[in-house]
Amino acid sequence: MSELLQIKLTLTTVLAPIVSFVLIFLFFLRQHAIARWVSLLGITTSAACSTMLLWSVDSPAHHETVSLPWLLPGDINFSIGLLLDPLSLVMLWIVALIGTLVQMYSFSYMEDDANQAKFFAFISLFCFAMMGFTIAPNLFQSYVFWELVGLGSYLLIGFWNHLPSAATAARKAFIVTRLGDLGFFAAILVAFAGLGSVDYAGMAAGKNSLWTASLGGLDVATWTSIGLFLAVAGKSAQFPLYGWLPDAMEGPTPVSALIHAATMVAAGVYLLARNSFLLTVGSESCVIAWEGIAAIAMLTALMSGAVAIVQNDIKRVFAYSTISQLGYMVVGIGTGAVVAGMMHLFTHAFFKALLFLSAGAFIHAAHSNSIQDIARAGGSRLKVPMYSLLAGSFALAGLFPFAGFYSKDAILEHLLVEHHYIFLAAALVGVLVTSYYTFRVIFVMISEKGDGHDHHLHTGAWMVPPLVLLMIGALFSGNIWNFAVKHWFSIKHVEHGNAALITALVSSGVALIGIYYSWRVFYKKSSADPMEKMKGLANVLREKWYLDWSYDKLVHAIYLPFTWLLNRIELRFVKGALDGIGTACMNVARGFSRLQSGEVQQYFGLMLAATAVVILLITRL
Amino acid sequence: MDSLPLLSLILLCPVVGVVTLFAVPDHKATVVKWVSFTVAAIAMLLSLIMFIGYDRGNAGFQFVEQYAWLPGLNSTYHVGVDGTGAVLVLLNAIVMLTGVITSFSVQFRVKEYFILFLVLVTGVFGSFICLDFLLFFIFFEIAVLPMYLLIGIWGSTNREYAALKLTLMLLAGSGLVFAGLIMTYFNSAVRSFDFFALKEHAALSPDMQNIIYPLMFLGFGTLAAVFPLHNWSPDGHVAAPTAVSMLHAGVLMKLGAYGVLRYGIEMYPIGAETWRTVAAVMAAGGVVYGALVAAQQTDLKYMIGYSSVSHMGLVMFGLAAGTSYAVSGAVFQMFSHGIMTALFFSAVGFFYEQSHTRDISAYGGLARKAPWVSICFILAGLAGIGLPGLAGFPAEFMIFVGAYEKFPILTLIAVPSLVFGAFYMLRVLQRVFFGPEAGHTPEIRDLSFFGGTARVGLAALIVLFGIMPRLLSDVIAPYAEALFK
Repeated sequence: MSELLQIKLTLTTVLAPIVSFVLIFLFFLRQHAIARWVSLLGITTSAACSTMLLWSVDSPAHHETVSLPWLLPGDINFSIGLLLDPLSLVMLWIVALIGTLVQMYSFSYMEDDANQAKFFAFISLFCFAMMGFTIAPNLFQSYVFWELVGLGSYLLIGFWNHLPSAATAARKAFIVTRLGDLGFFAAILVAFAGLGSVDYAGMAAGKNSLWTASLGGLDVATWTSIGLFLAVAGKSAQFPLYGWLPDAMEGPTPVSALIHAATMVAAGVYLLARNSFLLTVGSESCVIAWEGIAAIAMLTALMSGAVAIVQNDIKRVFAYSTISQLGYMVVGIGTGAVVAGMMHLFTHAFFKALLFLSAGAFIHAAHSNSIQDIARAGGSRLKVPMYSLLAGSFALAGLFPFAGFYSKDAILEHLLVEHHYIFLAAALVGVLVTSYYTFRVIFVMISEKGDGHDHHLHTGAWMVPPLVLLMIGALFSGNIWNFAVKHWFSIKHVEHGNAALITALVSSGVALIGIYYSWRVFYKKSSADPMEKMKGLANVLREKWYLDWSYDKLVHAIYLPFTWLLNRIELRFVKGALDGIGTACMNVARGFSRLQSGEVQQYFGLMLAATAVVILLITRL
Repeated sequence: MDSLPLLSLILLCPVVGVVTLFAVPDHKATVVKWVSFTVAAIAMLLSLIMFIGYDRGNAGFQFVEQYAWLPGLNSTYHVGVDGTGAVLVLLNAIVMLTGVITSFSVQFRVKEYFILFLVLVTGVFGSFICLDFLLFFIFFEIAVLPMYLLIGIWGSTNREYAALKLTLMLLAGSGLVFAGLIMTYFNSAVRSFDFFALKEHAALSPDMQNIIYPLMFLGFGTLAAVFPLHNWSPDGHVAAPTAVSMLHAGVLMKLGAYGVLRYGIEMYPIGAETWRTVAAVMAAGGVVYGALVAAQQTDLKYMIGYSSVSHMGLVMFGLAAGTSYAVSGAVFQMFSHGIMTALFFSAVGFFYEQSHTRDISAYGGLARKAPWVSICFILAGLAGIGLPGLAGFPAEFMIFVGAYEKFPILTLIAVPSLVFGAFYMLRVLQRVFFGPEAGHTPEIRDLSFFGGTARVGLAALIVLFGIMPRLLSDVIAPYAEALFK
């Protein structure tokens, strides 16, 4: 494929959704039927073009960049352009594909909504932002679209903004992720000042001496890494900034699927993968920083996995599982396994979208988010969603032959080979927890046979094709990656003896234990729920490790009182000082105005006194 | 084209308007309004022609005209625009036109209102194009003084107090500038008020520059609401009638920043260098302080007023840092903030006319009642918190990138204002536009077509310059680069 054609195809891929957005916003805000088709047409175009692009990748070294100065004339540093390499093309494809399926699904899910045209416009905008981010050839463009991704999530999470809870969740998502974005901004400042370039190619080729130049105790590369990780912690929901993600459930379920699978949270992991060259350019401190990133991610994976155990809202279970899986990806990338991390992102996109969309089908049918309610309403009788829930759960638990098995094992194998034994042990605990809470949902669901009432449960017509396609993805995306995608990333395949086999056996065994235990507790009910025994821990988990509580305190006990204090200072001192000057002038003037009494006697007296003084002065001299 | 004295024609538009209005009988309010609209529209058109015709490859002054004025003092009528001037003239024309449209709802003493309005605009145009220090100072005063009457007569909340405070503080600032002006005149080698002559041949000693620059920085800085001399500004915004708030925040404060740039940094580079850190600390302080204090405001206009303190702080921070990125960003920010606040005040005025309250908690769910005006306000709000794709982002980005070179720590202190800004802005957006409807909202109707052109037009500009910042930066950047050659 010629370069020009590739560029045209990329532009079509990225721009199609924004064209849909503009069209809907200008012309079809009231014509829902047209709006949804315009939107679907746009994203389908993207999916088709990105598939063709993926097809055209023929060599691992494939690399293409085009940039135009955007911010200032003739200034290539802050430009908008595109970077085509296997990493960006694979990501582009996932976004377009998942985006298409989610929009198709939304045809049914949003069919009764009075503002659905707006919904489709926003979701197109969201996809556009993510794609613009994906092809960014420099940190600057990444930041621009990164923020737009944030805007998209704000609009969609708060889509039902007449509900205060939705509006609050949207605001929380925006502000918490923006807190992380400060790190991004700082990273750009540091990298640009240190390297004179924020172009990925330029940065990767940057002189080692520039990267290791000392800066406030550490070096440029380390500060850049730390800044970027802050941003990743925001968007990809890592400790301590993950609190917004479970609340983001306030948005319509297709949005959750999109956020959790291919767009919002994937952005952070992708950014880290894109900047993983930092691991090789920096000094010792930079390597330690990346170890720290991996450690925080591991902690996140365990913490959030544990919280998922006690959630009763089906979407929240999956939300916490997303945080946990993102932790795995970041652990992979943080310890240098970029390809394994991206592979997990790839497979996770399919099975997590699947899980959310099947959850949405249950919610749409049973009108409740609670697992117990859905079970009582006879949710397990919904055929297609039930199968897809099963497929997604097997993939999430990482069982053969589902996709999660391959990708999770790729990370575990890397940890074993690179001797990160602590991470490996922690990751295996995570596997146990994951399979336990995942199958808890299923066992609770099938342990109830429904209350016998006829609930007229049905699955929307537009929901079935996406679910079926994603089921295929949950089954085969691991194989697709191994056979088709992996070789584009120029990795020299090294035989590690039996490492692959060992991790596969051990992790599968651990996952099966989790499932077995879950079965005993929630289906057969022969063991007591461990959470019944550990009341203290259960409470901590229900309080989500007091993270939301801490946010709340930070805002209400520190930030707002501080602004209140400043406002008092403003009124009391800044304004007060001015008023004081004004009053002082008035008082002085009032004092002098007493002299202007209009009484002749007083004037005469003053005159005499003044004359006396003058005479006295003259005679003395 | 070249023979046309474009800048003088632009300046003449409001003057012709004022003269015509004197001839219109008092009770013909409609005629008064349409006359004002016509001159504003012509000025807008001419400014657009000027902006399009501006040679982007050339960093020097363009459209220059010079005529004798006061030969005894070596002061001439000398006008011309460079990268900053061109952008600010365009801004003034935009705010003038949208301000006139917004003012169509004025009912009380209409003729006097529009006369003062046009006098104010004349002063601003004159200040932006003048290349003679004395003439500049006169236009500068013409721009400032009508504010007293406009706020005192047509204002609202606490208007006498606000008008008095504003006028006194700005006059105090003018006093400092005038002192600097006189000192420059009598200490320079050329005895001229001409900008070029002074800039090239004034030969002021470094000591002299170190004395005069702070006068200029504080004098003009007061008008730009530099922290901690900002307190007149939120009170003034709140008390002023809608279109006057638009002019006030939209262009008058820019006049202060422009003064610091042209008659401060350009004229006294050594002084500017000496005082750089002090200026930067004040500016960065304002950026953070304004954003934090804004979080406590319950009145929409006060909230915007303090956000302006923060945003103008950014302008001053960029100027203080004095690198080509930072100054480009500062000039860009003058424009973006001008459009943004004009839109803010225009929208708030629209709500206030209907519901007679600006209390944030009195509103709710406006986005469903009045979607168009809500979208406009929301766009301005998002631009204010530096969202890419809107006009605020390119400016803030350039300022921070440019300033980091000189003041890394201060920059990193100022950057969190992005989060502080998001905090108060999203809170207000949620209260006012989303959520359940509150008591006052049922009365709010959406924009009419005519009133809509102003608000939607401003919102469209925010998007346009956000997506294509080069429309502005192509004009600004050569100037900023030449400044620091």
